[in-house]
Amino acid sequence: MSELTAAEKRRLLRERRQAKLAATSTDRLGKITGTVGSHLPTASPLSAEDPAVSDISEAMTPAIDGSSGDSEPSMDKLLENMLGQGHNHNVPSVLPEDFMKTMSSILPSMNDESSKPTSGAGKKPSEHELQLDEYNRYQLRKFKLGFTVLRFVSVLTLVYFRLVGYTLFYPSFERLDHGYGKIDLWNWFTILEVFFSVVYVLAYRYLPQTRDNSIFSIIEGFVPQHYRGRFEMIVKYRDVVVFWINDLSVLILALGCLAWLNN
Amino acid sequence: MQLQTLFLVITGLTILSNLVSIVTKERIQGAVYVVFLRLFLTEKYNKLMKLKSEQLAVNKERNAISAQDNYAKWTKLNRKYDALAEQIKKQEHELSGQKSSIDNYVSRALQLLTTLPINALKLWYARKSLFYTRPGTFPWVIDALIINLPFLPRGSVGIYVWCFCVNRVFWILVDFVKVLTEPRPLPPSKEKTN
Repeated sequence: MSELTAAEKRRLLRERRQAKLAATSTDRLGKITGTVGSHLPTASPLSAEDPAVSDISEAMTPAIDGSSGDSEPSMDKLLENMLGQGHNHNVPSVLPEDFMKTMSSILPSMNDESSKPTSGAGKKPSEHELQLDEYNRYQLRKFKLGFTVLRFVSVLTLVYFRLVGYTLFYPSFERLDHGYGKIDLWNWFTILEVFFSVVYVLAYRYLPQTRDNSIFSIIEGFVPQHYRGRFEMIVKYRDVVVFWINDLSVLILALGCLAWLNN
Repeated sequence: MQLQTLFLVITGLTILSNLVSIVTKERIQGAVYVVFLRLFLTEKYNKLMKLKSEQLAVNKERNAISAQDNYAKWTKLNRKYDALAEQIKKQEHELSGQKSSIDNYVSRALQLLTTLPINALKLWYARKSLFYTRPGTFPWVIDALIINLPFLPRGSVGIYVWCFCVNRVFWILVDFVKVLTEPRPLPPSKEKTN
């Protein structure tokens, strides 16, 4: 028998393939429609009998109501549990398999988005904000110290002009009960304090604002809402009191030095 | 103690204590150790330096020869190097032990010079007036409720109020000098907008 040519071989193969297709066409169609040779049952899922338990609350897993450790149940599990109530493996899943995959691929991205902090309370300050805050702090500190030193100089000038020379009013290391009248040092001191306080309050709005991390911001949380406005005002102008204490300190220091020099 | 002396002592001690805080205890300890080393531990220090230079020379010599070709000599040098390392370690240990004891002494001395006498004087003279202002200098409220704390005779200034005033003015002036001398932070550049 002579050998077959290439064209003849091709023809034979084609014929064989066509015969095979013709023989198994019914099976193929059955496989596609799921009626023949499929691992899935032929019965329609809609015609399957209802499961014994149909209460949705029972279908909910512990993960959903939070009794389990998982706070974010996977969509796959959720749907399987809902549908698998009374699942007898003869009833096919109502939803196609790729639906599950699609849903579970969507779910992590949704979870990621929901887990992101919202802009606002928990937002960390940017590097620019931190730099600005540091710069503002420095400016504020510089202003306050400069202002304090200016006040010191004013108080010392006041002592020089209103007390030095009035030897009867010099402080002493001995106690003197008898008075010698009055000196207007304190009046001038008060005028100076009022003047500087007004200047500070007026200048306050133009001062750079910084993040207040002091103890007052913690205490503010415990103050009733009704008094919070007043508390904020007190905190805002507490520097006025601090300045007054500083000035009184320098005045007492000047008096002490005078007592020593007059000794 | 006379009031004048007390006034001077407590003022001086308060300022000294604040100066120590500015300089920091560690710096003082370091400076004292250096002085002590030069005065009393010269011999040990010189010995340590000599050992170190000797070790360096041995190491140089050992590295110059081949361990395979001159095994005997290399081993001998190696042993010498190890012996020197041991001696250096011992010497350093001795010196560091002395440093820690010197630091301890300095720390105690600083406490004895500043903290303890200030607290002792404050405790002892708590109820004693340091100096008196003349009647009529301050209004009654200031005379009887503020400057005479803790409830001293009217118009008098006690040791607590005096120390408070000295400390307050001192630190404000120090802060002011710091602000003037320290490098100022640069203003931040404008934030980039997307």
